[in-house]
Amino acid sequence: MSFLLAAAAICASGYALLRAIGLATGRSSVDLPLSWFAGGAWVGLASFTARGLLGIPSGPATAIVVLALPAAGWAVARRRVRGLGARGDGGARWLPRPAWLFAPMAAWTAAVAVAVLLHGLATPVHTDDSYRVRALAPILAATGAWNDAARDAIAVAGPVPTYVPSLAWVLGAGIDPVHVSASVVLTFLALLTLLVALGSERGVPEAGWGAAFAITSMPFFGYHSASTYADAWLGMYLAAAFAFLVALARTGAPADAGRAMLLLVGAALVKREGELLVLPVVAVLLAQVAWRERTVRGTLGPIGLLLGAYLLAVAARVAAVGAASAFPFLRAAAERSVGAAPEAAAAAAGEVAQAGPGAGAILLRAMFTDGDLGILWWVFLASLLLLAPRLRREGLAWALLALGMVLAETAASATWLYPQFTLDHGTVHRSLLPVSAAAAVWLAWLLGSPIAPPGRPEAEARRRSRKEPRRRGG
Amino acid sequence: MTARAPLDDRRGRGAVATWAAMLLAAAPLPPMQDVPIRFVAENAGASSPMRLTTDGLAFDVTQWVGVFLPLKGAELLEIDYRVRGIVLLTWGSGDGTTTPAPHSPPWHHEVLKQGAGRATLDFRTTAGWSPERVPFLFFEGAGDVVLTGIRTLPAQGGREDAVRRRDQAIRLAPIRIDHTTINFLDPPVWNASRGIFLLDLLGIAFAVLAVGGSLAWLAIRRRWTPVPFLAVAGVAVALLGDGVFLVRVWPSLALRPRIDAGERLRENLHFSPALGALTALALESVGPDERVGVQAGANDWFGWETLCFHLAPRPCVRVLPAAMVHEGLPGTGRLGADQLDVVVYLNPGAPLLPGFSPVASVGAEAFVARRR
Repeated sequence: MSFLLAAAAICASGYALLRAIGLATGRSSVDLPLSWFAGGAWVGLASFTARGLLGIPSGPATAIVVLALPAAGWAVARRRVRGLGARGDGGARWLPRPAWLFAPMAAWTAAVAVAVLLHGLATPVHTDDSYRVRALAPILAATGAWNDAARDAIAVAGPVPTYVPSLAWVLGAGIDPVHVSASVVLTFLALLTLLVALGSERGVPEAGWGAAFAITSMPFFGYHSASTYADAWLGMYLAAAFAFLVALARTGAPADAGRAMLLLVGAALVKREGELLVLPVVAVLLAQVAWRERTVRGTLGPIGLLLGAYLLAVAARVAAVGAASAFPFLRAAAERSVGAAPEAAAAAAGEVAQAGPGAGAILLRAMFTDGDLGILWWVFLASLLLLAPRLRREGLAWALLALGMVLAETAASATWLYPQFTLDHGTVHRSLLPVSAAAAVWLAWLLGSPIAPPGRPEAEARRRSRKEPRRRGG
Repeated sequence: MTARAPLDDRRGRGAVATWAAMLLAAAPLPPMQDVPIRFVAENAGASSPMRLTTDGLAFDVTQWVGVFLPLKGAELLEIDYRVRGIVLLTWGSGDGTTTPAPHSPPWHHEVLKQGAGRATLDFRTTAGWSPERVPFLFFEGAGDVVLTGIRTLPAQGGREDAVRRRDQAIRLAPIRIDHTTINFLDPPVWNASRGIFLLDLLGIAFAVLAVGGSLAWLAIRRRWTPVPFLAVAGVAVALLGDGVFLVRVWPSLALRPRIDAGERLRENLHFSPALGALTALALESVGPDERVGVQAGANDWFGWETLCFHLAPRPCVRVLPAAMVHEGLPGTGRLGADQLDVVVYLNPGAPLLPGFSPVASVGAEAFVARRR
């Protein structure tokens, strides 16, 4: 119960934030799940900045101020800020076609959602590590711990996985680690709802249901969504951001660019690698907006302001644990670049030479053969090859570029930076979850859009009227 | 000699999944045959003393007991048991001399319910099984066990038949949550002996349907419209893959809502049910402001970390015999032995700290102790 109250407070705060910066869509089916994402990102960012950058201790007063600030901002902004516009292109359509194809997809999606909800809340927070940094960090935050080890743990977990599950505890509820898995489960449900609602709101329910089905058809993603790990959580934020990136391709609405940037900032706040993972997507989004700025002005400024939140999170992390510990991946990359391979990687490379497939082969098997990600990458590859000419027409090339860069990052990490965790199957499958979730969304919009062309119903009607005999009576 | 059908008594869903897997994967099984308990008692190899009683083959479990059964090539076993305490059964196969690593994936394990029960153990899906190997049972926890009946399938056909049956069994083998599941799921395999994975078959089927359909449409209608073929083929093979995953994962899902943290620990800490019970007991026994020390085995990091994590925010440390000050999980602080209010004792192989005495227990070597 305490978790539900905290979740409601986070949603309310997120909704106020969306209204304050003009990113609410005006449709509750979209705004409600989006509020959970936005509220989580806000609570994580504000709490971490307050603690790491400003030295304000965590506690009930800080939490209440953090929750209330967006509402105050909304009150101030409703008269002064125009925002990026509210709605998309209208023309909502709620039932995907054809029904015989989408009925089993919807049934499977709903079944997975229920299973993740029940399994996630019925199992204790246990992993192969007996506890998990991602689950311990919220406890440390709730108890106000801010020593070296606590700062390290919170920086590794990331602000969102730290401060979202701990909100109820900070406000007085008893600590129960199930709040961690409950947070992941709720984000999973919010993602599915957001995908379906957004697709429907934009007149392409096929894309929305397709994305939800593709994500629930990745068995490993479902399993992780019922755990305390944050790989899927990061994937959920990234997938939600990609939903607005591909929507941006259809509508060109500045608000969609803003929503995508907001969600990318949220993804940057999940896990230590979140900031680097989303960096190329942020760059592509900025480039896309700058490109559009030639014809549609006024978008780049607000997007740049949202980017400031990303930089704030980076600054808070550096302040908390120091520059060297904030981004160990950059340090590892520098070491690899100059030939001084990390010891474990060098040892693992020796093992590879002696027996078994290399890291690259294992990565490919993880994508195509091992089944953790279902059939996704087979369909993705085939669709990319067969539908390449459509990419530009559908406006999905920008999002594809971003996706390709995230995949390149993941592959570089798995095969070059940390091959030992690929060779022992330690993290390679988990590291593919975020990019796979984003790929699922992109693929669904590629396949979903042309099945049911949006808009111009009058043109369709004219075509029908020429080819089909007019029905009379009955 | 009696004939009975295999039966999984553990829970209803387990039985449903077992039957579904059997119906889908293999031909109906022939009747199982009783194995005389005396024969097992005289020929089994065990790591601890076993007693042949009028009820069956009895032994105590304090930490673990490993047993090789003299049933070379056994594919399926059905065991009747009677258990007191909390016992986790792991099964696999070995050469009879070297003890296999019991927790290696795919880890086959099942919590034996208290009292009388029956378990059906499929050895064909365990790592490295072959007709030349013998069954290996590994009991962990705290309690005592009596094996009251053992049944097995009689050997049928030659080695090739056994390999074929193994391929069929692996095709829909249940996914069991273990220490590595969070890193990867056991891959769905279509034919283990040939190394053919299900996803490769589904992927090729998808490619043939999508590309073939698109090309055929192009040839017939002179129009390049691959989207419907990509979408329909993609959804069809995805649903097939989803169906296989559902059958495999169903026995492992915990779908009964559990609000209470203690209930979650007791029922669903599958890796170590005894540890789950002890952790739940500690949660219920230790006050919110009390300071806790955990005495565990020298190499048992999993036990003390699990306990301290679930007892948070209570100060909790691992008690090491030679240490002056004891440390807890990262960032949670340190405690001296004289600061402890409660000790959780978990098979440490060392005496309980002086000044403490047990107040609640789940076994002789697993209990909660308070300062006298």
